[in-house]
Amino acid sequence: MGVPHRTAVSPPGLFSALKLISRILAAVVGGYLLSAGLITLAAMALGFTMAQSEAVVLVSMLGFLLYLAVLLWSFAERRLWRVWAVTAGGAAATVGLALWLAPLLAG
Amino acid sequence: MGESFRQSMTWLHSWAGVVIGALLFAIFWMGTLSVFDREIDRWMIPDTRLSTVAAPPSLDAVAAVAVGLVRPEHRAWLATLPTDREPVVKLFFQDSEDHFESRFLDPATMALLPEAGSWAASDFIFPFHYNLNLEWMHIGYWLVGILGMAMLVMLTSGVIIHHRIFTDFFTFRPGGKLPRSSLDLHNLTAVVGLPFHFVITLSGLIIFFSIHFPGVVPIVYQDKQADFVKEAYGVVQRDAAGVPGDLASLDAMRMRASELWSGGQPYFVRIWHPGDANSYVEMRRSFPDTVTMNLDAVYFDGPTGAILHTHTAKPVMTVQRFLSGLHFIQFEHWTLRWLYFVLGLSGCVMIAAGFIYWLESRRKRHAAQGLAGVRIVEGLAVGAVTGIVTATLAFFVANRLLPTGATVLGYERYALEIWIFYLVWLASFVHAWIRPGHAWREQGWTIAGLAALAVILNGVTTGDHLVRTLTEASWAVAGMDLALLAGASVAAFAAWRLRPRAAVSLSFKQPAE
Amino acid sequence: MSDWLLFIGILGTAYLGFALLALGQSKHRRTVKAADLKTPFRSAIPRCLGALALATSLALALLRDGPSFGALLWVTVLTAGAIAVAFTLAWRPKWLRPLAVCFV
Repeated sequence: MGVPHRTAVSPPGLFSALKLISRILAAVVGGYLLSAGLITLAAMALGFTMAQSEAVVLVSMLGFLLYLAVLLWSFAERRLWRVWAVTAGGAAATVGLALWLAPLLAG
Repeated sequence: MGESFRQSMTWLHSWAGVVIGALLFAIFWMGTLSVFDREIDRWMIPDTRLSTVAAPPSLDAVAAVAVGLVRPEHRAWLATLPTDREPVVKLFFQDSEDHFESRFLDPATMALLPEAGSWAASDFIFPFHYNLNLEWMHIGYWLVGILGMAMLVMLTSGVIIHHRIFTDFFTFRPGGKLPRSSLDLHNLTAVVGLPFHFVITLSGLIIFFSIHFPGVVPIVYQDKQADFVKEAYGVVQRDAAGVPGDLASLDAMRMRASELWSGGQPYFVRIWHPGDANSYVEMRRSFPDTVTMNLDAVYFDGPTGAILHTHTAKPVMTVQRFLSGLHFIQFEHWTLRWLYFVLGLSGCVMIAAGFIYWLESRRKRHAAQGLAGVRIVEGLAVGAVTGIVTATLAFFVANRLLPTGATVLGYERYALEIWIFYLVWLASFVHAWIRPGHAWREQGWTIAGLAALAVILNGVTTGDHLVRTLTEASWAVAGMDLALLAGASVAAFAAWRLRPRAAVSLSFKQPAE
Repeated sequence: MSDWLLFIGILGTAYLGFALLALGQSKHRRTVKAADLKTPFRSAIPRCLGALALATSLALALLRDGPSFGALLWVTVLTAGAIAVAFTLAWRPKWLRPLAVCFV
């Protein structure tokens, strides 16, 4: 089998280092907030069909697998702007929606 | 599968691996040791090398001792009851900030054992595994959480980039060049151990779901967060009355709990607001023969012994407790415990072999192009792998050498052991960076020497040398000594194989048949 | 006593199962210096027997320890068995030759 062929190494330079850091931030922080936002919405929805505490535990367990998928996608997706759009944009949308909906549902 | 997808996963796998491999090894190493944390405790705290008592101790007798030690600032005291692996009663005194002081009791005589003077495995090695002993603002939990997610990324990306995962399932060619044999070993331990590595990592994250996704409960429950705790964990709370009160018989309460649990026994008893008229007793059920760490609990009124509340986990929570139980392995099953230990070691080998592959596949190129990558990463790898093992053994040796009650610069004995661990670990990185090409071998010999020394010191300082522990069936101590000797042999063999010789490439090759 | 026997059975059938799976692959047959299997059908035989052995291992594990412990025991033993077969092929391939020549 031998040693696998090397990947295309990005050209050195400040610009690509910054792009890398940007991608890592989008993936790790943005992706986390996106996952957290999605599962919070899911917990609220599932609270109508099962005990609320059960819904919270269920979505939290699945949340780790969701975050894993987001992380892998963030490094596979070629275009950096898309990564930011999905993670940060999605995080803002889902967390925002959750924060807005929650007092309405609880009250 | 697109080639560029595989390329990006390859890039991710090798770079993430190099950056976080050191901490991942530390977590896996400490986790593997934690499989036998109670046995290591026996070795490091000789006063607890007691034989197991057949009958559970009287809880009222335990309470009599606790009452003498509890102080007004303690809002609760609790006792964990002896098991096969932990033959002592552990008393804890909990203050209003949930700090705990602990003392141990001999369950046969109810005598207080001397202060342990060591954090040993249960309070240093095990917490290191799940929060790197970084308590401040939960930062350790977060760091381990990120590393756990990174491990899942590593496992998944590793599977994606493995070209011939089934064809190469059993492939291990130790006789050839180091890049290939280390990659083979890395792939072997990773692929055949994949169910274990993935489930262990995911279950480790799931254990701490409320720390890692802390926003869900506050947002969903708004100002009624206590409802979540009550529904999920069945926790009862009531304030102290400020008026003195008695405590009814704990043994009678235990019998009532056992009836409710169809014969199950408590492993944990906590008395809230001791001595108060509003005191109440929390009993939690043990789980020696299930994977699931049940949340069965009974709460009793302190002065009367009346049942206040009983709790059992709901179905989804039971799944979470099953997955947690897969990770914590608190059940009694020695075969599984040893298998987990072997698989944990295979995880350590996986990470170490990954490092070695990264280094060896780039060594010539970096040397030719004058790049510093291999030099820097090699120092990191040596410190991360042989370094932390050396530091752990120094921790054991220091445990045997430090006298009782020793203090230096205001640091108590248990803290001195921990200082020695970190200082030796730091020194191993320095050694690795100033002795390139020799560090692996020299640290290998150091490990062998320290491990053998630890066994000798145990015999000398406690009298429980191997002949005695094997004949007296003192399995925890004997097991630790034997494991140390086995480790010493492996380290010595590896160091000997790495001795300088004419051939440039090193290999795992055995002498020809 | 029977617990121990069952465990040896669980480990043994796991090892045997993986050995059979490995010996269904031509590269490993070459390692143990056995002749290649001529047709795909002939390579399927050790593989099927291997799978059967692994299934037997699972059955024995469930018998010994019940559903949850048994399944857990099996999964962990599988890893140990697979590593053991890989190490045998790497360092003592001749030990597997008798098994390899059962299939032609």
